[in-house]
Amino acid sequence: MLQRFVEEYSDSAFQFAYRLCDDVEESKELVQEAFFRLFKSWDRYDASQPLEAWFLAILRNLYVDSVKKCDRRNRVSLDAPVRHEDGEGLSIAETMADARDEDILEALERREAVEQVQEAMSSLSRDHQAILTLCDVEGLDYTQIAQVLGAPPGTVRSRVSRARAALKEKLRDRTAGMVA
Amino acid sequence: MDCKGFEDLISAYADGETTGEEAQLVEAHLKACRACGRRLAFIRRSKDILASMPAPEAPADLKAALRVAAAQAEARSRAEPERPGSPSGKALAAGALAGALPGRAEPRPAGPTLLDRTSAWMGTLSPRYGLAFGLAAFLLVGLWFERRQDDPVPIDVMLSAHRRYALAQPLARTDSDPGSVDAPADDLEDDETDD
Repeated sequence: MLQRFVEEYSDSAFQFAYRLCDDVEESKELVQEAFFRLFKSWDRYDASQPLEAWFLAILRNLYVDSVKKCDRRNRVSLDAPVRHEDGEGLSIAETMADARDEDILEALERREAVEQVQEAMSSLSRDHQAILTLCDVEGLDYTQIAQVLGAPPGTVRSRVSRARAALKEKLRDRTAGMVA
Repeated sequence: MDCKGFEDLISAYADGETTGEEAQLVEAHLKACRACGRRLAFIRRSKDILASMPAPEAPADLKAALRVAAAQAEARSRAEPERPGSPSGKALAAGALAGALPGRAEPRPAGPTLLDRTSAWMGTLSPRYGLAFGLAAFLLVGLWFERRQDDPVPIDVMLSAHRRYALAQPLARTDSDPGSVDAPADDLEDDETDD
């Protein structure tokens, strides 16, 4: 069962760790440590539980350890307002409902949209990347995201919303650069 | 409610995380607000892109190390018999995760031990009561020890009993009674008066 768990979840765990650390070696260390910790005491887990419950424990360990070990990227509070490159603060409503949204949407329809989004994601803070990875890449629901982040369930909704606003802001900068 | 009030709601709506009532509110607002329609379109499109983004695979050496460790853990688990008294021999993974939420995910033992239960009971006492309880126990033990030490040892009674016993014994030493007292009774009296 454990070997099946490795085959099924090691890629996702590595991807999550890589987004948090942005470094292959550190991500490998984090993943190895998280899995080894689970293996060490796995006989105390209920085998009838879905593997996904174990995976959430792995993600939780990765997130907690990354905060301690991979601190080179500045952390941005998930509750902080999104700031524009020129330093002007924007509310989420302003960010998300800008008249230039048509340009961003058009850009996302183009073939290079995946690269654009990937680059924009890479430039986000660790916490914004973490929550968008959990929500949109891993497809976890808000309750599971709260478990992984150790956050009150009631705050996940606004945190996801803020992370999306930050992503959009990054995309807006890129789109503006392309248009200009 | 204005557009600002809908920002988190629309994001949650795109994730399917709204109640039925909230969903109706959002849908009614979207019919009248083009800007929020664009907001929802952006979220849905970015979700699609993120979900289809190529994911970096775990490096081969990492996977190999994990496979070996997994095999060893499984072998070790098979070799160890389940402990008697354990409900299933295993704790719930969900419970382990829930227990880890404030910090790190660590598994929990299958059932509460006597120590766990005692600790839990002690934990129900407030620190002030705990301190008072400990102090009272310490004083009681101290008093008991003190009483043992201060027991009125009747030394004079003992001496007089001893004297009576000695006086009752014959004064002359005999070979067959090497432990008998050979001092005269008067000497004993003198010794006592000297004190």
